[in-house]
Amino acid sequence: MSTGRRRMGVRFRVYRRIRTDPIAGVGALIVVASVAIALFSIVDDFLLSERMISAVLHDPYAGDPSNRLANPSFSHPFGTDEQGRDILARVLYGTRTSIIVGVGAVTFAALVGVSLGIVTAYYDGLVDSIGMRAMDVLLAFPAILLAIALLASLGRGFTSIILALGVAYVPSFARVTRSKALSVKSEEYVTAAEVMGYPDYSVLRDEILPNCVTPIIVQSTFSLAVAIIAEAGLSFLGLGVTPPTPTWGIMLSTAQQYITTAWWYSLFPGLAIMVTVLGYNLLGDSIRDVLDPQSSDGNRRL
Amino acid sequence: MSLLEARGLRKEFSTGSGLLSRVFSDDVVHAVDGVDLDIERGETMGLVGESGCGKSTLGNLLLRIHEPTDGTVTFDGTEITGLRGDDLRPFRSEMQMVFQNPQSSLNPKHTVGKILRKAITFHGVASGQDAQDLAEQYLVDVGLRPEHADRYPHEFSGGQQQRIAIARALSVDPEFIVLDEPVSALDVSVQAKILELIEDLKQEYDLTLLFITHDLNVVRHVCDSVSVMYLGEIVERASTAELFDDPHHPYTRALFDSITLPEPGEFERGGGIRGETPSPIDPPSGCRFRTRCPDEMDVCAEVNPALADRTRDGATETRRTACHLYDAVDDGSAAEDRPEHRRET
Amino acid sequence: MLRIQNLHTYFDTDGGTVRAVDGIDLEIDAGEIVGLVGESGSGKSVTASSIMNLVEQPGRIAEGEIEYDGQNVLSLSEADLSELRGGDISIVFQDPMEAFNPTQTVGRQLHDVLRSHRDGAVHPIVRALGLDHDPDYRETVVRMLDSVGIPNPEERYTDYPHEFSGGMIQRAMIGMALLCDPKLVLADEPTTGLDVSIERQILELFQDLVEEMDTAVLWITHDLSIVSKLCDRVVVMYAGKVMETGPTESVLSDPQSPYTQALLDSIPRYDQPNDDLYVMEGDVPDPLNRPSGCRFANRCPEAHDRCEEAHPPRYEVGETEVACYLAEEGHR
Repeated sequence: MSTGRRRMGVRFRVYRRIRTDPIAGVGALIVVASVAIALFSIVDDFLLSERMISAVLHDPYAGDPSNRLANPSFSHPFGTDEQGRDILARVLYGTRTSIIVGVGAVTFAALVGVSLGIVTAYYDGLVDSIGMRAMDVLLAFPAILLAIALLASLGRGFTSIILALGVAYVPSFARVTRSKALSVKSEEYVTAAEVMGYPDYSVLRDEILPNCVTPIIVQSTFSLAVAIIAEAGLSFLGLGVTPPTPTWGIMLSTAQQYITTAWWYSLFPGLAIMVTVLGYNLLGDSIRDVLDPQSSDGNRRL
Repeated sequence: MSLLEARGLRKEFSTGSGLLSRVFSDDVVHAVDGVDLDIERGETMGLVGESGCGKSTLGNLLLRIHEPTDGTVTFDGTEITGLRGDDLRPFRSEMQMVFQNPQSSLNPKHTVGKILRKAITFHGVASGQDAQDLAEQYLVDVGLRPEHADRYPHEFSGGQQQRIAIARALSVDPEFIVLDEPVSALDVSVQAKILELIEDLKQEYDLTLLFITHDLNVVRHVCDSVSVMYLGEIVERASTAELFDDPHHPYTRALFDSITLPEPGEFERGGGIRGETPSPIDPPSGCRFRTRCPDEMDVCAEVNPALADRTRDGATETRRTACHLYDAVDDGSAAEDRPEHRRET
Repeated sequence: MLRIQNLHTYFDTDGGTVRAVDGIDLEIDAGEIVGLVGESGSGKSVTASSIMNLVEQPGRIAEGEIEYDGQNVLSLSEADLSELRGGDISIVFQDPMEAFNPTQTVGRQLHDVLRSHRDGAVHPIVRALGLDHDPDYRETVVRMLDSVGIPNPEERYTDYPHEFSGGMIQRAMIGMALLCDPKLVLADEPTTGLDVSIERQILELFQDLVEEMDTAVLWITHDLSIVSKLCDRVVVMYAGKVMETGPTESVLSDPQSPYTQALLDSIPRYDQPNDDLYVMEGDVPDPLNRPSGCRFANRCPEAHDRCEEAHPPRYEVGETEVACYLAEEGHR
């Protein structure tokens, strides 16, 4: 029985977990840093007349033929690539593509997937069967293959990738949402809303959806991590966004040829991918631990 | 004319889940199996039975939460069984429900004020600031304070949450409220408070209530009349005073025997109900209670006695009950066969 | 036989420390059936788990002694505790799922309990292969299933928990608790949620069995009606403290604590239809913020100034002990 007004707010608990748990803290730090760098890169590249990054480091687009494939040094901490461009600057700029594609794909997947999940859970029966079988069909294809197939018809570019990956991730959101929505549906407050005569769309939007948010958030962090890898993979295969936009995938792809001569060229972009994905995963894990009542340390029981 | 009338209400649930097994499964739970009910304006009727007897389902059918498999529900003269959507909406504000588990009957993401305001505004009772004022007033009526409107359900105790649920039901100015085991999940001392509240509100708002419970003691305190339910059927119906004074149906009597009062002493052995409740998928032939009835007769296995006015030998007073021990009065609708459900073997 | 002295069990939560059990004393003699009664938040369930040192994080036993047969339970090693738990002291839970493994047959589980108790631990491989199955033990289990009123015990031996109805699995659980002939049974609301008719059958059965086996029982419940018939003595708890304790007869017919009286008066009774139910004013104090005086003071119809200063000590009135200043003069 709850008594009094203890601050049990979800946001509060997540915040506190991030403060106290080093793993969660690291994850949060990486996530925040990646988003910050991405935003900075957008602002810097498109809004400022002179790129600030050039002042601090180097211009990511400016090649220096006299300095190709240089070892990491003080002025080029990550070394330079085959055109003499500073890899560190390019890695930083590359964050932008990963994050934009990631966020875009996940947003699309969430919008479609969550709606599908809630509707199939609530209406049950035929709607549910069809909806879920459709999800099964989508899930049968590995995401990358699905994305490639879609890209073939959509062509290259930011929107295409976002759409293609987004479609591939719809089923995960649909499943996760449906699962939570099914248990929410059986709560008495949903019945109370029906007895009150609220129309279906109102019940779905006001009663069911708000109570499904937590697993959706957790799924988002994980899907973001996956999307970043997928984007890198697609870029690597040459299907990603077009150059000269620096992306980690393209860098890795080009770096293949120089793998024996310029180890730093493959290492740093790869590291960037790994660290970012790890960060999102760690954060997602921590959030899930905080929000999931079935966690192994059931210490909220009195 | 009764405020609420149910005729031949029936509700079946299939036990299979999923598309195919629902179509092909033979196993059907007869949750409510042919119920006639009349609730008069201003009456508080108790609906009593043990778990699985179908009392909650019956409440749900009256409020159109479930569609009945058969039968009709009439509210204030209008049949509401077939109504949907916009046609049904005006009736929604006339008939409300208070649920058993106060915690899960309030949306944890909405403030208390929002829960009430939404109902008030939706049914056009008031809008804007008036709706807020009205919401606060209902909160006060149920024993809370206006500032509670800004809090979330989890910040309240079980008893307070139940008060909020009652306020919600009242906020649309209904005539009829179904209370489904409203105090079963509460501590004894809280239970007393809520029962008193219900009693007060009933007077103040001139309500008609259906009080569903398994606890006969509570019924005695709150209800004007009682219907006793067993395995989907109503087996006895009487005014509270009559029922407690002289229960007729063997199941009712057995229920009374099972009650334990907080008086120091010994259990009265030999009382109570023997055996276990049969499965609602495959109830006994004839009278459903016969497998546990101390007075079973031959006819009980063959004919399911209908709920009718009956007398004991010689007596003039009648009791509405479904039992062969008593003779039916009037039009020979007596030993009428009620539908039987046998599983195909 | 069992003696609890000045037990304090606290829970460290985000909002502060909840003193779930805040200084209670309790005694159970051999063969006695004691009822521990309280509403939610009274600390009755926590008392039960404290006895067997089964309090889960973030709870801890902050203070106090628990003695069983002269031994200090709280200082026992995990191994010794386990032995005690299975053998001399057994527990009946409210939720059969806590007691039974859904993937094993009921009979098997009872058999294993008996076996571990009599012969000690069995190697898991031996058990997995079923080589440790003992027909004598099986016999004993079947007899126990029979004595708890399970029809066709031979066949039911091989049924899984989910194949039992609510009442039947509770009986099986009682059977499991009594199987090893315990000296003390801790029963934590085992019949709550069951139909009244089934509950009644189980209570009568339980009473017969423990009287026959001369087992001591601590029966924890919120239901005073059960206690009135089942228990020899009753302990009434409120907000972490014991308010009154004594023979059932005395406590229920002539309660010394205003809380007990109020509780009794709140219970609806079909034989007293015209009496209004007593409604307790106010609410249970916030467990994080309990008053320094008597816990019940803010709701007690007979409270006076002294009640707010300090929680009253225990006074003896006849065979009852009550924590209430009103009892200072002797009788209320």
